Amino acid sequence: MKVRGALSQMLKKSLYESLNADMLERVAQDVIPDYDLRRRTGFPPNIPMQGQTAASRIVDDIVEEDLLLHFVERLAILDKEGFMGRSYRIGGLREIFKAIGAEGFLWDSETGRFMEDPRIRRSQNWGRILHGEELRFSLLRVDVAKNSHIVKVHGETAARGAYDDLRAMIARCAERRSGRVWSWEGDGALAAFLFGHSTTSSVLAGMALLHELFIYNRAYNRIGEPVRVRAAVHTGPIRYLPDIGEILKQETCREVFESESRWTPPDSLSISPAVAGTLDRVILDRFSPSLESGSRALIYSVGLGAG
Amino acid sequence: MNILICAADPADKALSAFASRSFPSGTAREIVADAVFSRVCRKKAPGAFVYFDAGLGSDRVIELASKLDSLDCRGWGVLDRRGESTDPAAYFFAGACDYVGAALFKSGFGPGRFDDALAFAGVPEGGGETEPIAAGPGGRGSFPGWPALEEGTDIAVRFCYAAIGNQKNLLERIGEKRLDKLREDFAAFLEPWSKECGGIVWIRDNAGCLLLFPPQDEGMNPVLAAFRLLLDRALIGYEVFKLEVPLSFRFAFHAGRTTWQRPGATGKIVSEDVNFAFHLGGKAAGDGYIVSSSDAEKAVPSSLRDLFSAAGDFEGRSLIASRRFKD
Repeated sequence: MKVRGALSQMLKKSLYESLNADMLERVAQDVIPDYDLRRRTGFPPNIPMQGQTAASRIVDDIVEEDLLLHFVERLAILDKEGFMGRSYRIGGLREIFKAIGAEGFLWDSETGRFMEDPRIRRSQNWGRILHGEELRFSLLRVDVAKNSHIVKVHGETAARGAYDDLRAMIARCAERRSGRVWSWEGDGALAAFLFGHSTTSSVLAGMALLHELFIYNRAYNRIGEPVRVRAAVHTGPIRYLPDIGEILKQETCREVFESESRWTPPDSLSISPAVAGTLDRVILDRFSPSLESGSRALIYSVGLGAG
Repeated sequence: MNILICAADPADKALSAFASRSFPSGTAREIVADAVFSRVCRKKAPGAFVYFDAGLGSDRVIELASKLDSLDCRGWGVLDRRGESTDPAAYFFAGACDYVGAALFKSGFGPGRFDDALAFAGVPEGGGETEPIAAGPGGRGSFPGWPALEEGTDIAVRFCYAAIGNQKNLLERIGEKRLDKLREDFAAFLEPWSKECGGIVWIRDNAGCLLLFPPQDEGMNPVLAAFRLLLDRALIGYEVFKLEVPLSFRFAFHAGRTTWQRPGATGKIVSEDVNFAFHLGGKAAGDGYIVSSSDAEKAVPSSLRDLFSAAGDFEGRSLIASRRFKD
């Protein structure tokens, strides 16, 4: 994130007016482990350090390490919850949030994190997840059923056209709910959700995709055969890495892939018990137990009643 | 039906000549430049049959044709006046419904030739799914837009009564105050929704809203759009209206005539069709499906027709109704 001088100065002022040097160092250590203010400033232990000096050094280091969003998130927690039973009021926090908003980041009150404004940018890490950072994601896996049959019968060009449409639908359903499509393999996709009610968002995105496909297959499909998908949602911890191949090897990803291929019938969305437990009743009631023996997944599909 | 031709030069005289000798009189024809096609197709392509000039190159033609995927376009074809295409089948693989080679381009369409293309595209006989209703003034594309209509004039329109479903049950579960707010929110929600289909929220009553749509599609087909809302009812209830209880909708379509008055100034309108549309929505429509009078049957797109079946008579008119989605 590019940090303008005005934002940097605003943050420095807020810090030295709100916290002493010891507390400033403690907050910095939450973001940069083993942060040693005196070593960084060169101040010997026996000389007291002014808050202004400490704030200036810490903000410069935080900006240098591209951790400003993480640091301000930590300040927001301190302002809201205090520390060790004592309250700390961080002055000017509202103005700092505004300045960060002007740089294209929105505050997500659900997770207490900034995320990039989707009207400005849509990057795979929401513009702020660090390499190696481990967080709890919710994943939506989508796979085209009978892919090889479609390619064989209708040809690669026609199949590619239909899959391009599918890809656009998946992106639309996911990104409308703050999700990101992490991978697209030509006939399947993986979308990740982190912000807001991430599990609910991923489930709603999966349901919306089945609805879009229902209309697409009737009104817009040009290959003369319905495009059918299996979709699955699962949640769990993932270490974010720049190489998507490395992410896909992690257990939460493997589990969602298994859930899709093993427990999910075509034209359906399955959710794992971990996801089901987070859903509101009005959405959960749309799901039924899987008919597969040994499966604890719940299944949603679009069904029409009698005429 | 509109014919839209996409070419490098919209002033191309050969294309104009072909269009004028090939398509029936009364068919609106327009040539647009490929440079602006992506921008204007959303407005002009719904309900139209689109031809691309093969001189644009096959990759460019297929790229532009892909923009039609999400639009309710009748079909598309290629005009290859110089026989430049080395592989015309590639167009059909990409979804084309017609190909006009050099000789045919020179001679123009004979009788029935364009109908054959429409039949191949799956357009029902008569050229369209939403032909003019009650022979209103002007043909497709002649609708001037609601603000341009002169108050007091007689117009042909499609009516749609839309309401929240199962309101009695909702009253018990969320209370009168929240139900009133929900009705308000639903009416506000219908404003942009109807606009996507060229429509307008016209009159509100205690339970729902009477919407007007142009006699022919101007944007998305309104029955298809209503069907989408029924599919998405759980998502809309939860994400848009923040309800913790299930939500459903009811839709009733009718076509006919009325005196045009702007919304809010409709108190003195006397129209049999307006009365019928309200009766249809209030008494014959049911939760979770679409009902349509036989007058509006042509508004149901062919892609959804198999989901509709006869549903008896109401006040002297036969009805059709859609299947419901399972809860």
